[in-house]
Amino acid sequence: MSKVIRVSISTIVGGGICVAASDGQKVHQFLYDVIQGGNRAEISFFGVTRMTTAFLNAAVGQLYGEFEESVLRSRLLPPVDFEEWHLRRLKLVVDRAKLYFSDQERVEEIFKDNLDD
Amino acid sequence: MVVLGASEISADVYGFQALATLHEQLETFDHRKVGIDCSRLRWIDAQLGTCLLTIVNLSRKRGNEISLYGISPKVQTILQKNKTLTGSVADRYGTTIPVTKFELDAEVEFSKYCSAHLLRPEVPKMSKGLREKFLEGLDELFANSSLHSKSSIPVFSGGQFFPNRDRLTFVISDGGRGINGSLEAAGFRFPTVANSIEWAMQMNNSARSGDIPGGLGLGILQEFVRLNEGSLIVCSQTGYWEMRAGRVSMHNIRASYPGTAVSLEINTRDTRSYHMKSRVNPKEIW
Repeated sequence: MSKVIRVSISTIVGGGICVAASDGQKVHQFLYDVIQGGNRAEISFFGVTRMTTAFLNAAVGQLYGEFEESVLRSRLLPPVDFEEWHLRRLKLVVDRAKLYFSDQERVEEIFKDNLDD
Repeated sequence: MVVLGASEISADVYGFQALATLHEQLETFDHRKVGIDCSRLRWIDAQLGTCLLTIVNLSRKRGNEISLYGISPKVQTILQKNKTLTGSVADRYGTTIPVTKFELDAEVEFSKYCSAHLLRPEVPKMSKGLREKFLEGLDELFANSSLHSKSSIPVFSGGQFFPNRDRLTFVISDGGRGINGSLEAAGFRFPTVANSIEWAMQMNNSARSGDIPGGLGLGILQEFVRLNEGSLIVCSQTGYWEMRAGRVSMHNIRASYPGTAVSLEINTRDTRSYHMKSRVNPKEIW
């Protein structure tokens, strides 16, 4: 039976300023362990006052290179304690990560081809 | 002795050209005492003290001792008020954001510095939405320097309020490999350095490859500045990119700026809410 584990970003980072990719890595490690352990994560944005896409890419974006999207859908619950801007940034990063990892080599190749034109 | 040839250094293509030229002159010296003749200089935009410190610190890293000569009292006062130069000159109207250095991994300290100075009572009153978007933009800029610049010296940041014009400007300058250098390291090639900046400014374009996606920060910033009718300048190596009143222009400058400097200027009278009308459904994130 899988457990629901609340992942409080500000607790892991040690404050509400979530701007460093290195802090995003700490959150990523926590999420990775929850998912790998067969449990479900409920991300809490409580107390998050600042947040960059660099932080979110490290915390969440890279999960899409490690797990199937279907696995993440079943293991990541809707976020809680959020403000609207948290969700907008999270959605932006998740959509970008899906695109990036859907066919990473092809995406990078397209960018390079365009530049050669 | 090298001569700083410009009479005015403003946040525009000519100003960055002058700064890049100074850097190229200093690059020819190693382990020497070098004087910079500033006697022609009549004006410098205070926030560009950040760029001056990037250039001087890179030269010091080469073992040089740098001194300024012939600096006019007016320029000296400008640069002392915002702590580019040492010396105690009071900032009577509180319009400067002091030039401060940050290590590349000091993202949190940088965020705190920005908050502390934007919340000062003498800062023009801004809407909550505008202040948050501006802070987000600054955080994204610093994150970019931190992730991509590989700068061997700290990042310098500083700013200036212009209460009469309802403007607030901020500069972040690193002494790293530049946007084009970072993209080249990732295997990208561009006809000109300015083209590489233009590419990096677009949403979803990034030097990153491998496990962690990227490419959102500069796009977000550009979108914000366009809506705010502010201006954004990026000078990186020989490339100069500028967006003013929503119009983008690019130039290739004749000398190479060491690393990347970004100047962000916003209209503080902007009352736009910056809240999107459409909401994100938390059940449809993943």
